[in-house]
Amino acid sequence: MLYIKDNGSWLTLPIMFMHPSRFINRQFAVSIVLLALSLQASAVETLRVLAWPGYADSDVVGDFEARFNVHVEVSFVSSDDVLREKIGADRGGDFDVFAANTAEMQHYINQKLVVPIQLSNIPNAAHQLPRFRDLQAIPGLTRQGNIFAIPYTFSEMGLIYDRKQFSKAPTSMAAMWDPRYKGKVLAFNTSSHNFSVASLLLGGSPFRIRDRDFSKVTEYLIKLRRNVLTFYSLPEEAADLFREHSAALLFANYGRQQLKQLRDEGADVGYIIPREGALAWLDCWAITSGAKNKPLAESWINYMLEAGVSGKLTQRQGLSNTITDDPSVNITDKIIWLEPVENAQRRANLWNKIISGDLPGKFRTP
Amino acid sequence: MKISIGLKLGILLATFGILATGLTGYYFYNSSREIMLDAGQRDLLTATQVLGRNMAVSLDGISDNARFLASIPAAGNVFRAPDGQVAERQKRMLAATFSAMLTVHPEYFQIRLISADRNGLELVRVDRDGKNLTRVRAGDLQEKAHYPYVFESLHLKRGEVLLSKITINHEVGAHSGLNKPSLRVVLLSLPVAAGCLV
Repeated sequence: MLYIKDNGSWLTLPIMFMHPSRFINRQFAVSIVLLALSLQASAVETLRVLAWPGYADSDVVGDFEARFNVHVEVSFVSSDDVLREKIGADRGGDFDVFAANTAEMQHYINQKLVVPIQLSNIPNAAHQLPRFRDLQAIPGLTRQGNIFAIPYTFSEMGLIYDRKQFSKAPTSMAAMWDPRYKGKVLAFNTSSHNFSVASLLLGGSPFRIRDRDFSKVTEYLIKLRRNVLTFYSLPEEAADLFREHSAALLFANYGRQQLKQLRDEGADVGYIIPREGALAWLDCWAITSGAKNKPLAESWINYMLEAGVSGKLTQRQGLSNTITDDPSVNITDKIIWLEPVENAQRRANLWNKIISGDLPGKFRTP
Repeated sequence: MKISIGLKLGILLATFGILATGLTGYYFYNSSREIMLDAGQRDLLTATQVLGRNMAVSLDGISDNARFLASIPAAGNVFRAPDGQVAERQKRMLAATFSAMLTVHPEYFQIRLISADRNGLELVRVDRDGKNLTRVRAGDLQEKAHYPYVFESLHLKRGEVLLSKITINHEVGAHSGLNKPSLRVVLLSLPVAAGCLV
């Protein structure tokens, strides 16, 4: 018999020769008989996981499969837009469980693409750090008393500075606007976060900029454009620019991962969470409305919250987890979890003009 | 059912025949595949080498054009003009030269004179806009100091030319060049930075 492993099912291709006794009886006979080509249907349950790279490494998945005697299919996404597309494609029917940040969760709850989670089925949630146990306090996780997502990992966007160029560490993102560091600042090329940070510094809400405040925030961002060296997109690009142009400040859109990257390259850099607060993304696990086996999906979430599994995320990816206390994270730091913004399209349109270099007179905001 | 020895022998011979044909077919498939792969790789290598040579010649030509534009007196005179009126006259002359260059080089999207200070403000810019050429109005000129093709060119020595990374042009208002892959060729001629988009 010839067995071929095909994604968890056994493809059986029996090639049998005639029984030896009959071979003898008939003196001469060679027959190749193809008896059957059968695809043995797998009796093993499959859990379909949609996650970000590094969230479900093969060894972690393998342990889960062995423990629950199931098969896990992991698909990866690299952007929020792709995630929306994949979950929305079949009204959530293509996946059972997925990870998204708090700002994005609003979309899935609004579209009824996720179902409430029974906290009693996630006993490991009780071992999460205090700031993640109060789910009502984190915007985007609950609605009408139902819990739709469980926090898994987070990273705040702090400010990296070159220790050689600062006798005292900066305390606010406002340092990026300081003319003393003109041409020495690396900001991030994004509409949403830049408007949020600028609005926060001007005393407004980061996620709800009022119509009448838009021109003020836009002008402030033009001032930032005039003070930066450039706006980067990728962490590697930022690290190269930081080194080659002896930058003084770097807006760490990718959080502590960038700090680790620069220190690994030998840069003498510090990292601060500004006093006005740092924007932070918090990725959570949620169960789709099309999940085939909800208890199994809840078991997956519970498994992800085990100290060993969450710890691997920190060791391998440098991301903070919600179970073990990260000594480099100060509990008193002000963290502002991302929320959906008042009008993402408007911010994007304005940002495209700002980064293209339009003069202040070209902006007509209501 | 009893099967005659003749039929059995026939089946056996047929099986050997099929096996022999299959093996021969597979051998031919395999060897022709290798021959085709080799030929394909050779063709690609030749094409790449030719393309590389053409590219080098073409880049030399573009660099020469950038040097020519930076050397014409109007470029320097824009900065030396005693008043706005004289400066504007010099800018008009320069724009006319840019337009002439764009006319004979349909592969260029844009030619600009960019100030090294004043946040990299464009001083003269002529864009290709479909079949037309447009000189961008003063109010629509943009500041470009935060783009690598500007701040990296500030370290050039006199006469050196910077070839930027090829990127998609997302600069709002770039007319025909918008959302197209672009190579910026920049020449620094203190205190003038002249840039052309290809």
